[in-house]
Amino acid sequence: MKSVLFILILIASHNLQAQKYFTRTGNIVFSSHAPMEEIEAVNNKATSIFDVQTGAIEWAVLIKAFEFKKALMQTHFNENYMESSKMPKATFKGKIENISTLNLEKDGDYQVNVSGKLTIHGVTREVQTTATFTVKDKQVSAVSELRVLVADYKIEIPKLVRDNIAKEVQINIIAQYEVLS
Amino acid sequence: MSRNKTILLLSIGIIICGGIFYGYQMYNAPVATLKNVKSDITIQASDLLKLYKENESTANTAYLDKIIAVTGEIDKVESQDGISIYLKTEDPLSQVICQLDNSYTQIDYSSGDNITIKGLCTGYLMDVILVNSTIIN
Repeated sequence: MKSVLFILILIASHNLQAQKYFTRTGNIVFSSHAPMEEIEAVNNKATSIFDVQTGAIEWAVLIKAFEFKKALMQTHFNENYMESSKMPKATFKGKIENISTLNLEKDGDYQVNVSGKLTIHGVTREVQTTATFTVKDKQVSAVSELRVLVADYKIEIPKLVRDNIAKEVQINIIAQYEVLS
Repeated sequence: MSRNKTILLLSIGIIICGGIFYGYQMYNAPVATLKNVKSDITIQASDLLKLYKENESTANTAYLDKIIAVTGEIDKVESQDGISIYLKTEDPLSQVICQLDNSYTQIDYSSGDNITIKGLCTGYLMDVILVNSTIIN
Protein backbone atom coordinates (compact mmCIF):
# COMPACT_ATOMS: atom_id res chain seq x y z
CA MET A 1 0.00 0.00 0.00
CA LYS A 2 2.82 2.34 0.97
CA SER A 3 4.65 1.69 -2.28
CA VAL A 4 1.48 2.40 -4.32
CA LEU A 5 1.04 5.69 -2.45
CA PHE A 6 4.70 6.54 -3.10
CA ILE A 7 4.28 5.88 -6.84
CA LEU A 8 1.11 8.03 -6.95
CA ILE A 9 2.90 10.91 -5.21
CA LEU A 10 5.83 10.51 -7.62
CA ILE A 11 3.52 10.62 -10.65
CA ALA A 12 1.63 13.60 -9.24
CA SER A 13 4.83 15.55 -8.52
CA HIS A 14 6.15 14.71 -12.00
CA ASN A 15 2.96 16.08 -13.59
CA LEU A 16 3.22 19.22 -11.51
CA GLN A 17 6.64 19.99 -13.01
CA ALA A 18 6.52 22.70 -15.62
CA GLN A 19 6.76 21.28 -19.12
CA LYS A 20 6.97 24.40 -21.22
CA TYR A 21 8.93 27.59 -20.76
CA PHE A 22 8.60 30.76 -22.80
CA THR A 23 9.78 34.33 -23.17
CA ARG A 24 8.48 37.33 -25.08
CA THR A 25 11.51 39.47 -24.20
CA GLY A 26 14.24 37.46 -25.88
CA ASN A 27 17.29 39.52 -26.79
CA ILE A 28 18.79 39.01 -30.24
CA VAL A 29 21.85 40.97 -31.33
CA PHE A 30 22.89 40.88 -34.96
CA SER A 31 26.50 41.93 -35.65
CA SER A 32 28.50 42.39 -38.81
CA HIS A 33 32.27 42.86 -38.52
CA ALA A 34 33.56 44.12 -41.87
CA PRO A 35 36.88 45.89 -42.67
CA MET A 36 35.14 49.21 -43.32
CA GLU A 37 32.44 49.15 -40.68
CA GLU A 38 31.06 47.55 -37.53
CA ILE A 39 27.27 47.13 -37.60
CA GLU A 40 25.09 46.05 -34.70
CA ALA A 41 21.33 45.82 -34.32
CA VAL A 42 19.35 44.83 -31.25
CA ASN A 43 15.90 43.29 -30.83
CA ASN A 44 14.54 42.89 -27.29
CA LYS A 45 11.15 41.47 -28.13
CA ALA A 46 11.82 38.04 -29.58
CA THR A 47 9.60 35.18 -28.47
CA SER A 48 10.73 31.68 -27.69
CA ILE A 49 9.20 28.54 -26.25
CA PHE A 50 10.75 25.19 -25.34
CA ASP A 51 9.33 21.93 -24.09
CA VAL A 52 11.33 20.23 -21.35
CA GLN A 53 9.87 16.82 -22.17
CA THR A 54 10.35 16.70 -25.93
CA GLY A 55 13.18 19.23 -26.37
CA ALA A 56 11.20 21.10 -29.03
CA ILE A 57 12.29 24.73 -29.19
CA GLU A 58 11.07 27.67 -31.27
CA TRP A 59 12.09 31.26 -31.75
CA ALA A 60 10.40 34.09 -33.66
CA VAL A 61 11.49 37.67 -34.18
CA LEU A 62 10.10 40.67 -36.03
CA ILE A 63 12.67 42.07 -38.45
CA LYS A 64 11.37 45.64 -38.23
CA ALA A 65 11.89 45.57 -34.46
CA PHE A 66 15.69 45.45 -34.88
CA GLU A 67 17.05 48.81 -33.80
CA PHE A 68 20.25 50.27 -35.23
CA LYS A 69 22.26 53.25 -34.04
CA LYS A 70 22.16 54.79 -37.51
CA ALA A 71 18.81 55.48 -39.18
CA LEU A 72 20.16 54.94 -42.69
CA MET A 73 21.45 51.47 -41.80
CA GLN A 74 18.06 50.55 -40.33
CA THR A 75 16.32 51.73 -43.52
CA HIS A 76 18.71 49.83 -45.81
CA PHE A 77 18.48 46.70 -43.62
CA ASN A 78 14.68 46.67 -43.86
CA GLU A 79 14.10 47.92 -47.38
CA ASN A 80 17.08 46.70 -49.41
CA TYR A 81 18.43 43.58 -47.71
CA MET A 82 15.73 41.91 -45.56
CA GLU A 83 12.68 43.17 -47.49
CA SER A 84 10.88 43.14 -44.15
CA SER A 85 7.60 44.49 -45.51
CA LYS A 86 7.24 41.29 -47.54
CA MET A 87 8.93 38.96 -45.01
CA PRO A 88 8.40 40.52 -41.56
CA LYS A 89 9.60 37.57 -39.42
CA ALA A 90 12.58 35.31 -38.93
CA THR A 91 11.92 31.99 -37.21
CA PHE A 92 13.74 28.99 -35.83
CA LYS A 93 12.05 25.63 -35.22
CA GLY A 94 14.17 22.87 -33.85
CA LYS A 95 15.11 20.52 -31.08
CA ILE A 96 17.43 20.42 -28.10
CA GLU A 97 19.12 17.12 -28.92
CA ASN A 98 20.35 16.23 -25.45
CA ILE A 99 17.41 17.65 -23.46
CA SER A 100 17.76 14.83 -20.90
CA THR A 101 20.98 16.43 -19.62
CA LEU A 102 19.05 19.59 -18.67
CA ASN A 103 17.90 19.41 -15.06
CA LEU A 104 15.73 22.42 -14.28
CA GLU A 105 15.44 21.36 -10.65
CA LYS A 106 19.16 21.79 -9.99
CA ASP A 107 21.17 25.02 -10.18
CA GLY A 108 23.96 24.94 -12.76
CA ASP A 109 25.05 25.54 -16.35
CA TYR A 110 24.00 23.01 -18.94
CA GLN A 111 25.46 22.96 -22.44
CA VAL A 112 23.08 21.53 -25.01
CA ASN A 113 23.16 20.87 -28.75
CA VAL A 114 20.44 22.49 -30.81
CA SER A 115 19.51 21.77 -34.42
CA GLY A 116 16.64 22.83 -36.59
CA LYS A 117 15.35 24.99 -39.40
CA LEU A 118 16.21 28.67 -39.52
CA THR A 119 14.07 30.85 -41.80
CA ILE A 120 15.38 34.29 -42.73
CA HIS A 121 14.31 36.38 -45.73
CA GLY A 122 11.94 33.60 -46.78
CA VAL A 123 14.76 31.04 -47.07
CA THR A 124 14.83 28.02 -44.75
CA ARG A 125 18.06 26.19 -43.95
CA GLU A 126 19.15 23.54 -41.49
CA VAL A 127 21.42 24.90 -38.75
CA GLN A 128 23.19 23.48 -35.73
CA THR A 129 24.57 25.25 -32.72
CA THR A 130 25.14 24.93 -29.01
CA ALA A 131 23.36 26.75 -26.22
CA THR A 132 24.05 27.14 -22.53
CA PHE A 133 21.06 26.95 -20.20
CA THR A 134 21.57 28.34 -16.71
CA VAL A 135 19.36 27.39 -13.80
CA LYS A 136 19.60 29.56 -10.71
CA ASP A 137 16.99 29.73 -7.94
CA LYS A 138 14.39 28.16 -10.27
CA GLN A 139 15.05 30.89 -12.89
CA VAL A 140 15.94 29.53 -16.33
CA SER A 141 17.99 31.48 -18.84
CA ALA A 142 19.78 30.56 -22.04
CA VAL A 143 22.46 31.99 -24.29
CA SER A 144 23.47 30.92 -27.76
CA GLU A 145 25.33 32.09 -30.83
CA LEU A 146 24.84 31.45 -34.51
CA ARG A 147 26.89 32.44 -37.52
CA VAL A 148 25.11 32.66 -40.83
CA LEU A 149 26.28 33.39 -44.35
CA VAL A 150 24.31 36.29 -45.83
CA ALA A 151 24.38 34.64 -49.28
CA ASP A 152 22.75 31.45 -47.90
CA TYR A 153 19.57 33.43 -47.27
CA LYS A 154 19.55 35.15 -50.66
CA ILE A 155 20.30 38.53 -49.17
CA GLU A 156 21.98 40.55 -51.88
CA ILE A 157 24.52 43.16 -50.88
CA PRO A 158 25.26 45.80 -53.57
CA LYS A 159 28.90 45.95 -54.77
CA LEU A 160 29.23 49.51 -53.50
CA VAL A 161 28.86 48.48 -49.84
CA ARG A 162 30.40 44.98 -49.94
CA ASP A 163 33.35 46.10 -47.80
CA ASN A 164 30.92 47.54 -45.23
CA ILE A 165 28.95 44.35 -44.58
CA ALA A 166 30.49 41.01 -43.55
CA LYS A 167 29.75 37.92 -45.62
CA GLU A 168 29.13 36.04 -42.38
CA VAL A 169 27.08 37.70 -39.64
CA GLN A 170 26.92 36.81 -35.98
CA ILE A 171 23.64 36.34 -34.12
CA ASN A 172 23.76 36.33 -30.31
CA ILE A 173 20.72 35.18 -28.37
CA ILE A 174 19.82 35.64 -24.70
CA ALA A 175 16.55 34.53 -23.10
CA GLN A 176 15.13 34.69 -19.59
CA TYR A 177 12.44 32.01 -19.62
CA GLU A 178 9.25 31.86 -17.57
CA VAL A 179 7.01 28.90 -16.89
CA LEU A 180 4.17 28.74 -19.41
CA SER A 181 1.14 28.44 -17.17
CA MET B 1 45.83 83.52 -60.62
CA SER B 2 43.04 85.97 -61.30
CA ARG B 3 40.73 87.04 -58.49
CA ASN B 4 37.71 85.52 -60.22
CA LYS B 5 39.46 82.14 -60.57
CA THR B 6 40.37 82.16 -56.87
CA ILE B 7 36.76 82.91 -55.88
CA LEU B 8 35.54 80.14 -58.21
CA LEU B 9 37.98 77.57 -56.78
CA LEU B 10 37.12 78.60 -53.22
CA SER B 11 33.39 78.30 -53.96
CA ILE B 12 33.86 74.82 -55.46
CA GLY B 13 35.94 73.83 -52.42
CA ILE B 14 33.26 75.07 -50.02
CA ILE B 15 30.51 73.26 -51.95
CA ILE B 16 32.51 69.98 -51.96
CA CYS B 17 33.31 70.27 -48.23
CA GLY B 18 29.66 71.09 -47.49
CA GLY B 19 28.52 68.11 -49.53
CA ILE B 20 30.92 65.76 -47.71
CA PHE B 21 29.84 67.14 -44.33
CA TYR B 22 26.14 66.81 -45.24
CA GLY B 23 26.67 63.25 -46.50
CA TYR B 24 28.58 62.32 -43.34
CA GLN B 25 25.84 63.78 -41.15
CA MET B 26 23.13 61.96 -43.10
CA TYR B 27 25.05 58.66 -42.96
CA ASN B 28 25.54 58.86 -39.19
CA ALA B 29 22.15 60.34 -38.26
CA PRO B 30 20.50 58.42 -35.41
CA VAL B 31 16.98 57.05 -35.69
CA ALA B 32 14.68 60.06 -35.28
CA THR B 33 12.14 60.25 -32.49
CA LEU B 34 8.46 60.15 -33.47
CA LYS B 35 7.55 62.93 -31.03
CA ASN B 36 6.85 65.44 -33.79
CA VAL B 37 5.60 62.98 -36.39
CA LYS B 38 1.87 62.74 -37.05
CA SER B 39 0.38 59.27 -36.56
CA ASP B 40 -1.07 57.50 -39.61
CA ILE B 41 -3.76 55.64 -37.64
CA THR B 42 -5.48 55.90 -34.25
CA ILE B 43 -6.82 52.70 -32.70
CA GLN B 44 -7.67 50.96 -29.42
CA ALA B 45 -5.19 48.28 -28.26
CA SER B 46 -7.92 45.59 -28.18
CA ASP B 47 -9.01 46.36 -31.74
CA LEU B 48 -5.45 46.30 -33.06
CA LEU B 49 -4.75 42.88 -31.56
CA LYS B 50 -8.12 41.54 -32.71
CA LEU B 51 -7.42 42.55 -36.31
CA TYR B 52 -4.00 40.87 -36.19
CA LYS B 53 -5.44 37.68 -34.72
CA GLU B 54 -8.23 37.57 -37.32
CA ASN B 55 -5.94 37.96 -40.33
CA GLU B 56 -2.27 38.74 -39.84
CA SER B 57 -1.59 39.30 -43.53
CA THR B 58 -4.43 41.81 -43.93
CA ALA B 59 -3.47 43.56 -40.70
CA ASN B 60 0.15 43.81 -41.88
CA THR B 61 -1.01 45.45 -45.09
CA ALA B 62 -2.89 48.05 -43.05
CA TYR B 63 -0.56 48.61 -40.08
CA LEU B 64 2.98 47.26 -40.68
CA ASP B 65 5.56 50.07 -40.82
CA LYS B 66 2.85 52.63 -40.02
CA ILE B 67 2.98 55.09 -37.14
CA ILE B 68 0.08 54.13 -34.92
CA ALA B 69 -1.44 55.96 -31.97
CA VAL B 70 -2.77 53.21 -29.74
CA THR B 71 -4.93 53.71 -26.64
CA GLY B 72 -5.46 51.25 -23.81
CA GLU B 73 -5.12 50.35 -20.16
CA ILE B 74 -1.60 49.59 -18.94
CA ASP B 75 -1.13 45.98 -17.92
CA LYS B 76 2.47 46.40 -16.85
CA VAL B 77 5.51 48.61 -17.31
CA GLU B 78 8.78 46.80 -17.89
CA SER B 79 12.18 48.44 -17.44
CA GLN B 80 14.40 45.77 -18.94
CA ASP B 81 16.50 46.91 -21.95
CA GLY B 82 14.70 50.27 -22.00
CA ILE B 83 11.09 50.90 -21.05
CA SER B 84 8.22 48.89 -22.53
CA ILE B 85 4.55 49.44 -21.82
CA TYR B 86 2.21 46.46 -22.14
CA LEU B 87 -1.38 47.43 -23.03
CA LYS B 88 -4.25 45.16 -22.06
CA THR B 89 -6.49 43.57 -24.66
CA GLU B 90 -9.46 41.24 -24.44
CA ASP B 91 -7.05 38.31 -24.74
CA PRO B 92 -5.30 37.71 -21.40
CA LEU B 93 -2.36 36.03 -23.15
CA SER B 94 -1.64 38.74 -25.72
CA GLN B 95 -1.02 42.44 -25.45
CA VAL B 96 0.11 45.42 -27.47
CA ILE B 97 3.71 46.07 -26.42
CA CYS B 98 5.04 49.59 -26.92
CA GLN B 99 8.81 49.84 -26.63
CA LEU B 100 9.57 53.48 -25.79
CA ASP B 101 12.39 55.34 -27.51
CA ASN B 102 15.74 55.78 -25.74
CA SER B 103 14.90 59.28 -24.48
CA TYR B 104 12.72 57.72 -21.77
CA THR B 105 14.60 56.69 -18.65
CA GLN B 106 11.59 56.63 -16.30
CA ILE B 107 7.86 57.29 -16.58
CA ASP B 108 5.07 58.27 -14.19
CA TYR B 109 2.59 55.67 -15.43
CA SER B 110 1.79 52.32 -13.88
CA SER B 111 -0.54 49.36 -14.16
CA GLY B 112 -4.21 50.38 -14.47
CA ASP B 113 -3.56 53.82 -16.01
CA ASN B 114 -5.10 54.69 -19.37
CA ILE B 115 -2.59 55.90 -21.93
CA THR B 116 -2.16 56.77 -25.60
CA ILE B 117 1.18 55.90 -27.19
CA LYS B 118 2.47 56.55 -30.68
CA GLY B 119 4.89 54.04 -32.21
CA LEU B 120 6.08 52.23 -35.31
CA CYS B 121 4.17 48.97 -35.84
CA THR B 122 6.59 46.10 -36.48
CA GLY B 123 4.06 43.26 -36.63
CA TYR B 124 2.68 40.41 -34.54
CA LEU B 125 4.21 37.46 -32.71
CA MET B 126 2.36 36.61 -29.46
CA ASP B 127 1.69 40.34 -29.15
CA VAL B 128 1.58 43.31 -31.50
CA ILE B 129 4.87 45.17 -31.10
CA LEU B 130 5.44 48.91 -31.56
CA VAL B 131 8.97 50.32 -31.36
CA ASN B 132 10.50 53.80 -31.09
CA SER B 133 7.33 54.73 -29.22
CA THR B 134 6.50 58.02 -27.56
CA ILE B 135 3.80 58.82 -25.00
CA ILE B 136 1.06 61.17 -26.23
CA ASN B 137 -0.99 61.34 -23.02
